[in-house]
Parts: sequence; structure tokens; C-alpha cells
Amino acid sequence: MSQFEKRALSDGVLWSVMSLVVLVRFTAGVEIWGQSFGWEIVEQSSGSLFSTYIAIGVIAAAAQLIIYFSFRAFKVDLYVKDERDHLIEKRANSIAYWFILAVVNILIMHVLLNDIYKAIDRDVLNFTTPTGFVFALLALLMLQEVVRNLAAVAQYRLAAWMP
Amino acid sequence: MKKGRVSNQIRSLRQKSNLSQQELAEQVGATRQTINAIEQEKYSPSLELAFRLALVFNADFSDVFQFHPE
Repeated sequence: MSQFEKRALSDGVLWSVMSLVVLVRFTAGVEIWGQSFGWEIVEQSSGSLFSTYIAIGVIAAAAQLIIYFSFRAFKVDLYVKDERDHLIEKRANSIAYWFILAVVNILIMHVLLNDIYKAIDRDVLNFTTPTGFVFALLALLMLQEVVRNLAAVAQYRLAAWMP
Repeated sequence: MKKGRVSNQIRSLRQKSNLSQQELAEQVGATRQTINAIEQEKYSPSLELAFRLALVFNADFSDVFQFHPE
């Protein structure tokens, strides 16, 4: 496993966990192990939203630092990349870009159709409130990182796909 | 146009030269994992890296890499 692959794997796991944290913090519906998440956005006050935003940023930064220093402790140089690593990174970035493009368009259609056809349940992933908007942006940022890192790992693991 | 396949003799040349994957990687400025992927023909190197590999073995390019149009 190359250094860059190890980094992609650890970042992929980190951002998956962070996505779950955001999902649990902002949504409700199904309850598993005492944590509720689902299709309904739980409205929060602006103060609560702000503290959640800061907390998620701090947790993400702390986790990144832990990953960085863990690799350094094992003398793994995370910045050593060769042409294959660069190619894989480029493709992973491209996949993440197309993912964002697709999701943003789905979100636009979702909000517009929800407004046009009032019959749709307004509580189902309503992104027009501040809570829904913050959730959508945070989830999008994190899922982009998940997709980028998992795409990199998949390219290393499923190398037969490579030309 | 149909895609062709690139094969190589890196593994046998490396073993003849008594080089480890890591040593070869260091000589050509790549990672050991990339050398492994090239040997397994799961990754086709850039032209520059391919020439560097041929230079290490002091071999003709066509003795190291072969192209099979399909």
C-alpha cells in the first residue's frame, strides 16, 4: 500500500464518520443504537447551528491532525507521490467533481419541485430553511471528500481498471 | 480504434539485475507500488518512466516494453 493510498483510506474513513455525525446531528427518522437519522431535518436555532458548525470543524481538524501525526510516528511520508499517484489523484478529483455536479443539480431540482408541487411532504429533506441549507452544504462537502478518497482507494485496489 | 495491450519484461530484467522493487523504484523516481503495478501489467507507465526503466537495465526500449494491438 503506497503512502498516498494509506492517506486516502484514512481520510475516506474519517470523512465517512464525519458524514455520519452530520447526518445524526441534523436529521431524524430511524433510530439505531440510540442515534436517530433519516429523511426529516431537525430544525435548530441559529445558535445551535453555529455551535454544531464549529464543533464539526474542530472535530475534523483534530482528526486530520491525529492522522497526520500517526503517520509521522510510523515515519510515513505522506507527500511522496509518483506519476501513478498523481494520475489516481487526478481521476479521483474528477470523479468527486462529477459527483458534486450531479448532487447539486439533484438538490436544485428537489427544492424547485418541492416548491412547485406543494403536495410533497415539506418536512422531507427541506433544504429551504437555514438548518436544511447548512445540512445540505456540510453533507455535500463531506460526501465529496468521501467520494474523492474512496475513488482513489478503489483505483489502487481495482488496478485492473487502469489502462 | 480498439485498445491495445502493453506487456513488459521488467520483472525478469530486474531479477537478472539482482534489484529489488524498492531499489528499482528509487532509481527511476517511482514508488515500489508503482513498479509492482507495472510488473503485473496493471499500470502502463508514462513514456518518460518507461525510458528511465529501459535505461536502468541498459536495454533497448523494445526489449523492455512490447505493444500488442488487438
